[in-house]
Amino acid sequence: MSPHSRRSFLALSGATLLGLAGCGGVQRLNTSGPPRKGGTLRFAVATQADSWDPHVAATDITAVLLRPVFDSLVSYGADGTFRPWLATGWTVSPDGLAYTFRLRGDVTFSDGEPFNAAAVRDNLAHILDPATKSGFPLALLGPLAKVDVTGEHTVVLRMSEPYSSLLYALSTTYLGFISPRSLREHGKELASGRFLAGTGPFTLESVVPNQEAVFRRRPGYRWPAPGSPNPGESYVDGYRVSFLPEDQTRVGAVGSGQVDVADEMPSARLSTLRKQAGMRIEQNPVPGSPYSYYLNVSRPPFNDPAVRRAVQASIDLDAIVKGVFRGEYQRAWSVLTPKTPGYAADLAGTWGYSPETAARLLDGAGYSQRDGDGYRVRGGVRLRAEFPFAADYSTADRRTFDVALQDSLRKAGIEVVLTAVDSAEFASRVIAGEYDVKSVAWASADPAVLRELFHSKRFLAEGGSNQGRVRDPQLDAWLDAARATLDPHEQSRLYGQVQHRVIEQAYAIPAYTAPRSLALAERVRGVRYEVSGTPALAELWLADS
Amino acid sequence: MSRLASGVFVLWGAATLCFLVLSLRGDTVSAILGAGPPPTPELRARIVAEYGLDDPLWTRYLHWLRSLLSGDLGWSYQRDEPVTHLLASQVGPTLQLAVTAAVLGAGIAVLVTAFLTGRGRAADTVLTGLSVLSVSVPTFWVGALLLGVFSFALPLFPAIGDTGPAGLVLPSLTLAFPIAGALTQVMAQEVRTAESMPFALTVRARGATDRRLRLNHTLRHSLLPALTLTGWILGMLIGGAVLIENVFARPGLGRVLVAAAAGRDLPVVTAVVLLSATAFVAINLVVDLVLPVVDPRLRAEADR
Repeated sequence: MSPHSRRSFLALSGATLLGLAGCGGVQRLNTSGPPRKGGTLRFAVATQADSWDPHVAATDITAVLLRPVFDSLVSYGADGTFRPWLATGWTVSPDGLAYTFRLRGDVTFSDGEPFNAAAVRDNLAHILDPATKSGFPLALLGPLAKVDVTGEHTVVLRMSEPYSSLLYALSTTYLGFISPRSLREHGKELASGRFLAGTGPFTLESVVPNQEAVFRRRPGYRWPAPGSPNPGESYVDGYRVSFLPEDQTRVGAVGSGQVDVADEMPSARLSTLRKQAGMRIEQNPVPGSPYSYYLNVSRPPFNDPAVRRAVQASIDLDAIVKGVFRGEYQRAWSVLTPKTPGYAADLAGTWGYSPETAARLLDGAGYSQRDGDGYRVRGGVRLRAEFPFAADYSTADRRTFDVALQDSLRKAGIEVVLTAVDSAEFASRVIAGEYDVKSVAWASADPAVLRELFHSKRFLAEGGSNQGRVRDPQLDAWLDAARATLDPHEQSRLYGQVQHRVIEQAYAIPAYTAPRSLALAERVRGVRYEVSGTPALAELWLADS
Repeated sequence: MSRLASGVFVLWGAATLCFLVLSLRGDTVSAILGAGPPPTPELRARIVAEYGLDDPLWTRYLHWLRSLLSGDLGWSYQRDEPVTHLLASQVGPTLQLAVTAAVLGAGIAVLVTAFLTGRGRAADTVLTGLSVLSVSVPTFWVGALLLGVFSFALPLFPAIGDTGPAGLVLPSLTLAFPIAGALTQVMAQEVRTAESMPFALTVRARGATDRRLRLNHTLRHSLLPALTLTGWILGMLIGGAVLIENVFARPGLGRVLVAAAAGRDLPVVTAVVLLSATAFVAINLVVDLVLPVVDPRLRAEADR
C-alpha cells in the first residue's frame, strides 16, 4: 500500500495523523528507573474464560487474558483511529467492499509456522466454519463474503455489503491468529487452551480449570502494536492468572501481597483499599453500553410509550447510584458510555427523576386506580413487569441496584417481579421474549454495539441482542446508514441520533457507568491500559521488591 | 450380591434422575453454547442435529444410557472437552480436601471426646455449646474468617489455590470444623451413656482408672454412632467442598458441579453425580464391613 493510499484512508476515516508514537490508551508510564527484566506477575481475575479458543469465546475475560498471546492485523487507538500491526498497511476499495491488507513478512507463530496471507485465510475460514460453532467472533466478521490470497503477504477481504466495523473487528483478540498447524491438528481441542500457538509475546503454558492459567514469555518477539513502549521481548518471564470468584478473596489476596494485580475491585471496598500502603487503585472508564434496563416493547405494559416514560421518570438514578456505589460510579445518561466514540454528551441533564411526570403519564395511560397493595391497576389488571435475571452472570452490585429500581417503581405503583433463574432457563425465556425488563452492560469500543442492541434484524432469537425487541424503522435506517459509511463524522451524527431517540422513546433506561477498578501492588510498573480499560499485560514489568 | 444389586440400582437411579431433570426444563442448545449473545437460527439447528436434540426423549435416554454403560462419559457441552479429561484434573484436589478434612474432623472428635468429656457439668456444657456452634455457623463464614486471620492479616498460609500441604491447611480445617462438632456431640453422648452402664461399674471395680475405662472400653461404643454418621459426613464433604473451593479458589469437583448444573451441562453433571453416588455406595459397604469389627454384638448376629 502506497503512503498516499494510506493517507487517503486515514483522511477518509477522519483520523488526525498524530504520528504512531501517540499510543492507544492512557499513557501512564512509571518512570522510576529503567524497566527490569524478569519475575512472574501474579494477576487475580474474577471470572473464568468460557473457552480458550478466541474464535469461539464470547466472554470479555478471554479477550483480556489472550491479548498477549494473539496479535491483530490492526491496532485500535482510544482516539478512534486504526494503525498497522501485523498488517503494514491497507487500502479500501471506493465502494467499501474490498479491504486489501499487506502483511509483515517477519512474523512467526510460536510453533515456528510462518504468518502469511494463507494463515489469515485459514483463520477466517476457521471462524466461518459452522463446525467451529463460533458465535460472537463470527458476528464480528459481519458481511464477510470471501478471502482472497493475492500474494505470500497480501490478502483481500471481500464484503457483500459495506461494513464500517471491519477494522474494529480485526483489532480485537477474538480475530487474532492461531497457528495453521494448531488449527489443522487440534481444531477440535482449542477450547481447552492446550494447543494454542499464536504470534504474540506470550504463550499459554497451562490451564488448571477453576484455578489458574500460566503464561510464559516468548523469546524473539519483536512485532508489538504501535505505541508499545517496548519493541522487543516482554520484561516479565511470565504471568500467573488466578481465578478468584469471591470478592473478599481477591481483595485479601492483593492486600496481603499474594497477587500483584487484582481485577474488578468491588465498589464498596475501594475507599479502604485506597488507604492501604503498598498498593494503589487505578480506575479506567469502559467503552460500550453501560448497565441499562431494557423494556420489552413487544408486549404490555411496555408497548405503551407513556408507561415506558413513566418508568424513566420514576427512578431517582442520582440518589441510587450515589447510595449503592458510595460515590464511586457515575449515573448514565445514554446507552453508550462517555468513553465510547460517538457518545452523545448532549443527553446529559435532559431526562430524569420526576414523580409528578410519572404519575401524570400513568394516569393518562389509564392506570389511575390503585389496588390494596398500592400498585396501579387498569381494568382490574395490575401494572406489573417480569424481570428475570441469570444468577450466574449477575454481581452483588447489580443485584443491589436492581432491588433499588424495584423499590423506586413500587413507589410509583409499578410492580417489578425479580426472579433469579439459571442461565439455560434464562436463555430460553429471553429467546421467547418472556420478560418485561432485561438488564445488560456491554463492553465494546465500537459504537456499532447500538446496532446489536436496537436494530430490528438483531432480535435475540436471531443471534442479535435487541433486548427490548424494538422494531423502529427510523432507528433501523440510521443504524444501516452508520454501518455503510466509512466517514466517522457521519457515523457519530447517526449514532447520536440513535441515542437521542432511545431516550426519547424510553426504549431503555441507562443506569450507571462502572469503571474497571484494579488494585496494583507497588512493584508493578509500566502500566498502560488497552482501550477496553484493562492493563496491557505484555508491557508490565516488576520492580525489585 | 443383593448389596451389589442395590448399589447398581442407586447408580442407575441417580443417572436417570440427572437426565430427566436436565433434559425436561430449559434450553439445551443455549446450555451447549454457553455465555454470550444468543445463537443464530442456523447455529441452533446445527447443534440440534449434532446432539440429536430433536429425537424423542426416550430415544435420547436409551442412547445416552448405552454410552454410559460402555464407559463413555461423553463430551462436556460447556468446556468442549471430554468429560473424563475435565474430571481427571479435578478429582485429585477434591479427594485431598475431603480426606484431609474427614481425618482431621474425626481426629479432633476422638481426641476431644477421649480427654474432655466427663470433666463435670460445666465442661460438658461448654463442649456441647462449642459443637452446636461449629455445626450451625456457616462454612463459608468460617472459611472467610480463617482466611482473613491466617492468610491476609498474618501471612502464614496461602489464600490461593491448590498449592501443596500449606494450601490445604485452611480449607480442610474449615471443612473439618462442622464434622468434628457433630461427631463430638454424638460420641460424647454415647460415652456418657456407656459409662453409666453396669459394665463400666464392673471395670471400675476391677481397679481401672477413668482414663483406662474411656480408652479401652467406652470410647469404642462411641465409634458406632460416628460410623453410622458417615453418610451425613460424606454429604457435608461434598456440599462443603463447593463453598470451600470458591472461597479458597481451589480447583475441584464442587465448582465443576455447580458450573455444570447452572449451565445444564448434562454429561458433566451426570459424571459428578455418578462419582459421588459410587463413593457413597462404596463407603457404606466399607462401613457395613467395619461395624462388626468394632462391635462384637454385630459379629455374633452375623455368625448366628
